[in-house]
Amino acid sequence: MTVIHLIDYGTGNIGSVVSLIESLGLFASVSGSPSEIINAKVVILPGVGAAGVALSNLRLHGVYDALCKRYEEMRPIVGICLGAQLFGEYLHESSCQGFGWLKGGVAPLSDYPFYNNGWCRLDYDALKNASLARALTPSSTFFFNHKYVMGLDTRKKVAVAQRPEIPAIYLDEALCAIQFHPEKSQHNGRIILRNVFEDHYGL
Amino acid sequence: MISIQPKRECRQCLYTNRHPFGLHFDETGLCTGCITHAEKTSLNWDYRFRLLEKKTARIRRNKHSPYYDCVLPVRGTPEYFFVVDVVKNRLGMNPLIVSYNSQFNSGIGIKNLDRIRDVFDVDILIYTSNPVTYRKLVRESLIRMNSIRWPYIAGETSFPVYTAVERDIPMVIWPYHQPTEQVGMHSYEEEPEMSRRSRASFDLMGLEPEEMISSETTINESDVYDLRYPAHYMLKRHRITGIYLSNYLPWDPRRFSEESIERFGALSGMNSRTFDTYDRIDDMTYMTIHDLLKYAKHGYSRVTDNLCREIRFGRITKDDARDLQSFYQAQAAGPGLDVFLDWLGMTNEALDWFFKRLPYQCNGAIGASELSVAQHSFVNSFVRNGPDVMANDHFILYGKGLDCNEVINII
Amino acid sequence: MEELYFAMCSKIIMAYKRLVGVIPVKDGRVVKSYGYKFCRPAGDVVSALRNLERWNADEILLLDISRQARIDPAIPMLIKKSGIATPLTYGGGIRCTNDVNTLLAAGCERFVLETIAFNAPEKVKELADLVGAQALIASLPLTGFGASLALEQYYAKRFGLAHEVLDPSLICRRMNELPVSEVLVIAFNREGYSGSFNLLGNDLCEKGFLSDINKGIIWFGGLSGNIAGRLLNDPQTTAVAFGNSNNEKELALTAIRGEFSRTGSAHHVRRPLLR
Repeated sequence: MTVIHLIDYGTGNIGSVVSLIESLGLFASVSGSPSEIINAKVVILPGVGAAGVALSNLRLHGVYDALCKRYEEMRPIVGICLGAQLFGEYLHESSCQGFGWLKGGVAPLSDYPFYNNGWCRLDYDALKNASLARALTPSSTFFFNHKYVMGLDTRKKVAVAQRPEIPAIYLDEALCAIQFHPEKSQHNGRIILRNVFEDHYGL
Repeated sequence: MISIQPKRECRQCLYTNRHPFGLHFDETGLCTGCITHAEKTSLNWDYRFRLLEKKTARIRRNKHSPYYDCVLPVRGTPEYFFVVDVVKNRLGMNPLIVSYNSQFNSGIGIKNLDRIRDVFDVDILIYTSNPVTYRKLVRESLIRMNSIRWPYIAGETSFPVYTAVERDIPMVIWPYHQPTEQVGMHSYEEEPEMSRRSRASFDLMGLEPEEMISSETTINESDVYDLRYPAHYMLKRHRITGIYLSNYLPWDPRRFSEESIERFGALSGMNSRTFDTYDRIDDMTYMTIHDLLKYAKHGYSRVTDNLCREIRFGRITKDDARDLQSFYQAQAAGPGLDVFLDWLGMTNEALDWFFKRLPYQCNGAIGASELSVAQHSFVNSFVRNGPDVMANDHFILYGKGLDCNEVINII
Repeated sequence: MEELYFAMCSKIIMAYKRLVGVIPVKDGRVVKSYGYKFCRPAGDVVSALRNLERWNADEILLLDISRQARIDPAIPMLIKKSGIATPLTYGGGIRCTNDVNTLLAAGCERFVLETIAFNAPEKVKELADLVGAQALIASLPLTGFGASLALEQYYAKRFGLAHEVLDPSLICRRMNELPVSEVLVIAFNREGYSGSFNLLGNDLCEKGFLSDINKGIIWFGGLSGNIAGRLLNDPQTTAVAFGNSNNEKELALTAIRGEFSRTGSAHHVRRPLLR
C-alpha cells in the first residue's frame, strides 16, 4: 500500500488533499515529524495563506531542515499552491527567502484584477512533454486561487496557464510544484495528481 | 446534526417543524406545505393543464405506434388508475407502465395492478429483486436508517429512470412530488422536475445506494447494482426528463381514488392504523412495521399525513383531526407484523430492541367510543369495496411462483 | 474560436469566469430563500454539495442565512462528510480567525465576510494575514439601481451601521481598502425570484458606484440564464451565482451554461464534460 505523506504545519487545508489521495486508492498519512518526512516515499506540502507564517511554522517544527535533506537526496516532494511557491527564491509577500530550489522570486500579479481566481486551461504541449497529459485534453481546466506567481525557471520542465506569465506546474526529478489546487479541480485534479504519482514518480 | 429549534406547529394543519423534510412558516404561522396547498385553489389549472399538453407534445407519438412515449411508474392503489387515465386518455400518450415489486404485496394491490393493465390496455414491466439481496438490504436499512422501505424506494425511484435510458424513452411521469405536497418545498409555478438530488435527499433519506456498500455488512456492489441512478451524461444524451403531474393538476389523492373506484372499478380496503382506505393499500408492511417505525423515529405516523391532507382540503377540522390522530396512532400493527418478522428472520424481542432506542414511544390514546358522531361519519365516508389489506395472513411474493404447500397438493 | 479566447483573455481576465452554485442554509438544513424573508425546506447539505459537484459547478457557495453571528457547528462536519473536490466558499457568521481555521480544516478555501467587512475591518486584515486576500470576499447586499444603488437598509439597521456608511462613495472606498479579492453583490429583495434581477436597470448598464470598485464582482440574486450571460460580458464580472433554481430542475447549471451562447458569452465560462 503506497503511503503519501502530507505535511501538517498549521497552515493548510489538509482534509481535501487527504480525500483526493484516498480517492486514488492510496493511503494518506498526515504528519509533521521530521523523521517520517525524510523517510517517506512521497511528501506533499499543501498551503494556504501567508508565506512568512508558513515558513516560520516549517522551521519551528524542524520540517524545513527535513525537507532540505529530502531535496538533497532527490526524493519526491510535491508542493501545492503556497507549498509550491515556498520552493522559490525570494518571496515578495513576506520579504523572506524560500527554499531556493526554483529560480526566480514569487511576486504579485501586476495588473488588474490582481488575483487569479478561477479555472484555467494549461499549455497542453508542455504537459505532454512532461508526460503528465494522460487522460487530459487541451481544454481540461484546473482551479487557481492566488495572487502571487512563481518565477519562470527555464531549467525545469514547466507547463504554464493560459497567460504565459503564470507557471502552473514545475517538474524535475524530485520536485513537483503545482500552482493550482488539484484537490479542488474535480475530476481533472484527480487525473493530474495520478499522472504525477504514476507517470512522473513511477509509483 | 440539525440544529434543534423549539417545536412549532402549523396553525392550520398538524405538521410541526420536526417533520423529517423540514418545515418553515410565514409570519402568520402558516406552514410552507399549507401555503403551497393554497395554490390548488388559487392558480388557473386549465392553463396549467395546457402547459402539460405543450410539454408532452414534443414527445407524444401516434397512439398506435409500438414505441412508448413515456415511462409511468405505478402502484396497485386506486389513485394510479387516475394517473394512467390522464396520461393515456387525456394526454393521448403511449405509456410503458413500470412497477418495482415491493415483495410485500397485498392481495388487493395485486388485483389493482392487474386491473390497470386490463382496463387501460397497457403493457406493464415489473422488476422483482432476488430474495437474498432484498432481505440483506432490508436488514441493513433497518440497522442504518431504522427503515424497512429503503430498498423498495431505491428501486422504485431508479427502475423507471433506467428503463427510460435503456429503451430510449424520453420522459418519466410521476404523479406528485412528495416534499412539495407535504412541506411545500416548491411552488407549483416553479414546475419542479425529477432530479437525482431530490431522490437522494428525501426519498432515500440521505443515503445513496453506493454508500450502502460495506465490507462489514456483506453488502457488495452487485447487491445495489439495480438501485443506482443513471449517470448524468446518460440522461443528457437521451434527453430524458421527469415531470410531476401535480404541477399541472390540483392533486387530490382522495378525490382521484374515489373517481377511479367509480369509473374503473378500482378496489379499496381497510388498512390498519388509518381511516384512509385508498392510500398505500398495496403494501402489507406500510401500515404495520413501517408505520410503527415512523412513529418511533419522528413522533407521528402516516395517519397524520392523511389528516393534514384532509384538513387542507377543508374536509375535517383540526380539532377532529387531532382526536383521530390520537386514536389511530395508538392502534396495534395487525397480523402482518408477525409474517414480516418471520420473512426477515427476526424475533419480536429483536424488534423491540430497535424500538427502545428510538426517541418516541406511544403514550395513551382515546378509545373508539370517544370519537364523536362527526368523526365516525368522516371515517365511514371513505369507500371500502374490497377486502381488508391484511385479509391474507401471508404475503404473496409476486412472480415467485406457487407456495410450496400448494405445490405438494398438486403433486 | 480558441484564438479569440486567448486574445480576450490576455486583455482582461486570465481565468474563465465562474458559474457558482449557491446553497442557502438555515439551522443546518438547505432552504430555498426568497428575499431572505421567506424560506422553503430544500433537503440536506451533503446531498446538495455532492449534487453541485456532479453538475460540475465551477464553485459552490454555502451561505448560512440563519443570522446567528457564529458558525453553526454542524456545517464543518457536513462539509467534511460530503468529501467534495470542488472549490467551496462559505459565508455567514464569520467573526474571527478561529472560525476560518475550523472551516479551512473542513475543506473550504474562500470566505464571504458581511458584518465584519463593515463593523470590523481590522478583523478582515487579520483574516487576510491568515489565509491571504485571494481567499476573502466581501458581501454587498444592495437595492435600487444606477445612481440610487445603496446598501440594503435591513442589513444596515440590523447591524447598527452609522448612517455615513450608507453613502455609496464611502462603501466604494471601504471595498477598495479591504484586503479582499472580490465583492459578492446580492440583489437582496430579488433573491429567489429567477429572472427578476434589477440592480443595474433593464439594460444592465447602470452600475452606479460599483464601477469605481477595483475588485471583481460576483453577482447573485434573481439571475436568469439571459441576465447572467449579459453580465458575463462586463469586464468587471468574475462570476455569476444561482441558488433556488438548482433545486428545481436536473442539471440546472448545465442548462444555464447552454443559454450563454445566446448572449454571446459562452466563451467566458468553461464547459466541463458530464460524467
